[in-house]
Amino acid sequence: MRLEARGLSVRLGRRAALADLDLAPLPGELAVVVGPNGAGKTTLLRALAGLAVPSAGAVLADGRPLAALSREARARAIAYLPQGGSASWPLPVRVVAALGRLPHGERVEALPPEGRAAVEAALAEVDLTPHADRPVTELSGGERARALLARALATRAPVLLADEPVAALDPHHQLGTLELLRARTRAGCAVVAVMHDLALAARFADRIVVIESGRLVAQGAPAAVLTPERLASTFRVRALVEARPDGLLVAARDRAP
Amino acid sequence: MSGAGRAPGAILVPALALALVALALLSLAIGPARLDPLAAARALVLGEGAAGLIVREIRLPRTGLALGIGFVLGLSGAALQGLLRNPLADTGVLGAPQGAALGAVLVLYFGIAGALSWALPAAAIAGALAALALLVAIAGRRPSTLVLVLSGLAVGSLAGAATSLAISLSPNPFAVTEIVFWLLGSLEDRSMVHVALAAPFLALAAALLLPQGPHLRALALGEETAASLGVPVARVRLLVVLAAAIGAGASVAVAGTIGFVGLVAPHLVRPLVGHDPARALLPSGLAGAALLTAADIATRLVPAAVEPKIGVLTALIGVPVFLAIIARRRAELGEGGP
Repeated sequence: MRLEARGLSVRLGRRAALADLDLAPLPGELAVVVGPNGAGKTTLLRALAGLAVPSAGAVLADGRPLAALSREARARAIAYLPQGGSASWPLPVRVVAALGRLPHGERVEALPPEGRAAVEAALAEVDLTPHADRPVTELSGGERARALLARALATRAPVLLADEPVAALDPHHQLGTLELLRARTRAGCAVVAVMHDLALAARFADRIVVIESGRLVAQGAPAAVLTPERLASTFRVRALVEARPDGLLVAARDRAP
Repeated sequence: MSGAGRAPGAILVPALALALVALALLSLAIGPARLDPLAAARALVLGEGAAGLIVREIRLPRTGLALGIGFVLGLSGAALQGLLRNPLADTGVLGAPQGAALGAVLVLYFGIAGALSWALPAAAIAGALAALALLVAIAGRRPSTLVLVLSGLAVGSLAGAATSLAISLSPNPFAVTEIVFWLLGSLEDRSMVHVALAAPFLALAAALLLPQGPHLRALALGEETAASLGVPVARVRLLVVLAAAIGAGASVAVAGTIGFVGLVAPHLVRPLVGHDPARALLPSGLAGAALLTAADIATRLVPAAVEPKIGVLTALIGVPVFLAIIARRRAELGEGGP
């Protein structure tokens, strides 16, 4: 499925959270949305997931308004991982992951073979198979974040929207998660992730999308977008930017005036 | 799926059902004229002689009401706890019975209808709905324990004060005594008319609540995630609150205020179903029915001239459980909520 935001504006109360934004995540591409706090990154992801209602413009799924899709069809097509999610009850990790099969009309307590395979594969991908029977509330913050990611992966949706999927993770699992998101794009999935870590964004993104005050101010390949000038103007940091054979290296060093 | 979590859950429903049959027979057998359970069963089926009359006319209505009201209260508690993602949610804690009582008292007070008319459950349901709607509006979508308990207390107190005002303005002292005793909650001397009055509403509440299981399970991950999984979150919230109000209103209309069953029942079964809000629904209802039937039997076993009120008994059991949960969640309360 092709997801596309066209002239997208979203108001949160009286504030314009997003204004006239065009974005078309492509299948097979990892798009990383970056921007200062409060720029509208989360609102963009929520709007793409069909959870925030546009005040102008639209989000289109294969050219048709996303709102025209049934709830189930939308949930099968778009997996959404909110920021800093948690579970209210001590459900086993495997049950949490199995909730990702809900859009397929599968019951958590009686998954068909296909659903079970998707759940087990997702648990293996996030490296939680050994903890599959533990209550999710007993896990550490990083493990819990991975359990919730497994839920999003288990849906096997063609579009995956992840809000800060690596914020709570240690470096090893940050790299593991980003490798996993990249592997999803190789399987034809369109992945949009919000991230604050510019070094990781530069290393893994196919496309960087820069949002500032609700507007898209730049998008393109990391080397074209994450220039020292852009980092100074949008992020107010002085950064070391170095093109290396294995990708772009970005390290924020000082605050810019 | 998870073999370890499933084993106790699988036998839980049949075990609770068996316990209910035993409790129901006991409830039919116990009273001023004590029968043995087998004789009670025979009297129920054949309806012969004095035993048949006692069992069918006097004890069957109260047993049926205890089962039905207990089931819906337990089910409502489990559904509200799933919806609000808070183990202290319950129609009683949220002030719904007080709201229902106010609705019912107003109908009685203004003489709109007698105690055996459809207007009574209708007014009680409207009162419970107003209380729950007010509470959900105040407390928000994911209330912390503190906000939930405080707003429930406030809503309940407001309804209670309005009820007291209505009672103290009443010109008829006999009506006052009757209303006060009825408010304490009792299943004594109920007839088949009461059963007929409450049963349709109790059945409706159960029919609305039981299918919400998968939605409540998805809500464990928050409203955003549930919505992204295709759960109609607003509709689920409306249905659960409406059904809980219907159940609470119908219960209050025929049995007065009976609290804490919906709080305690889910806590008894939750560890046995892997804390799954979906799998907790039916067992919570069955446990609620068992609790209320057992409490009603206990009121008849207390050697006193006047039967103690069942609402008083459930509060004596429920309040310690309520306090124990608060004690366990003290850390959250200290931080002002999640």
